[in-house]
Amino acid sequence: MRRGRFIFWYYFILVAVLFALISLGDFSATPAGARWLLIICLAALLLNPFLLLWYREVSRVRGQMISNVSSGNAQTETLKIVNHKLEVQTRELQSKEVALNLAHNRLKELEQAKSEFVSVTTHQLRTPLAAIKWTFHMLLVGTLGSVNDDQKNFLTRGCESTERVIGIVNDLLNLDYIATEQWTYKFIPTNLKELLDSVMFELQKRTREKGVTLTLTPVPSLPLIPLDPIRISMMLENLLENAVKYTPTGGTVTVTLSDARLNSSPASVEVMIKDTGIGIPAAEQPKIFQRFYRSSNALRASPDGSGLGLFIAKDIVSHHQGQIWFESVEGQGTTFHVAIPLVPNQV
Amino acid sequence: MDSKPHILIIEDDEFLRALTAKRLEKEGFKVSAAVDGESGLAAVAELRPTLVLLDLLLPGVNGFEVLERLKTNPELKAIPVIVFSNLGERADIEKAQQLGADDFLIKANFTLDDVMVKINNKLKV
Repeated sequence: MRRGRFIFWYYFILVAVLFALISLGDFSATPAGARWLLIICLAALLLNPFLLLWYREVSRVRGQMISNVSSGNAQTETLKIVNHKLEVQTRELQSKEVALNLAHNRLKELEQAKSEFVSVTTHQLRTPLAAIKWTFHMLLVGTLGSVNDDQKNFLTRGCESTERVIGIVNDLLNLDYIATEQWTYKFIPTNLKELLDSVMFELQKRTREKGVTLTLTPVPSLPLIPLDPIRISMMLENLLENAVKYTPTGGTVTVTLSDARLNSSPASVEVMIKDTGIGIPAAEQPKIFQRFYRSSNALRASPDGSGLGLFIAKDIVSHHQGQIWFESVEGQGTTFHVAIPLVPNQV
Repeated sequence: MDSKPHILIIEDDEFLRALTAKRLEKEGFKVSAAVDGESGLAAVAELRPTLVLLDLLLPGVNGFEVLERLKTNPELKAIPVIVFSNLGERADIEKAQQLGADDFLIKANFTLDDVMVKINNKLKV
């Protein structure tokens, strides 16, 4: 900028001197060389503002470049620091990832060991349990000789106790299969009514002995439903066993198959199991599907049970993309609802 | 010639073997027993029983292998085999069915009366 001013004043003084010379002498009498000098000076005078502007622009660009270079250097330094920090953090993250992987693998090993333990133990338990069950049963039905009524009574209790232990062992094994995702599902178009009939048939003896009426209301015409018959049977068995177990003698368990949801979205078939049993206390209802949870009045009514039946039932229903819910009033009874969609997204 | 149906039990647990044999004899069957897979296979070949009750978890040659070898032997494959085991998951049942098992029972979930019903049904067919 300073140099620009210098050029400006330089030309200004030069032009002033030329005018002074011209005004002092006879211009026509001046030699040709001097006239040319005058023309050049006048041209320079005209070009001066443009030269000044050009110089200013050049100076500005140069200044910017210098500033950019120094700012670039500063940025490079900052980037180096950030990069270093990132490297440190990356190393920390990598070591944490290694530690996490180790912990994860350790957990997987523990889970595997636990699963194997449960599997081996439950399978090993089944042999002596079968032996006890078969012995009690053979004694009870007289295969090994006649028994009196008193002995029969004790043997019946022995049979029931063994059945309870077998039930718990089976539930634990199923829980382990669920936890380790070993259960596979095979969806087969199934007649739900026939499936329900066979589950109810298996329960007939127990309901008769207990004096509970188990009925199936008239069933509307239903399409075949794609479901896993083994798992759905297990789910229905769990719900029905609970209903019978917690319904006092003289009570009723009513099973209804409904087509009311066939036109809703998603289209589904609903099973309702309504009992006149002990019900579930309102405060405990939110916990009822938790594993191992048993309501306080259920524990009083029947000390046996693993608290896994409803947990397993819910898992089975959710694998069918279905829904399970209930209404219950303590002392009056419970109604469980299960909606199974006609087109499940197979899991 | 004995007209009684002849049942071969292949079971490694002594007490379960004895109980089953007792119940089968009570039902009027002729009963033989083997304690492991190898002797079971030899017993089937030698005795040609009417039906085999086969445990799966056996020492040495396991029940699945026994089943496979029986059902791939043209001379023995017609003999019905009812598997009764402590295993009971879908994969075990399907594997046994694929290998040619005629029925599958989980020991602890059935009584010996149920086993008799299964055997009688199979022999009627």
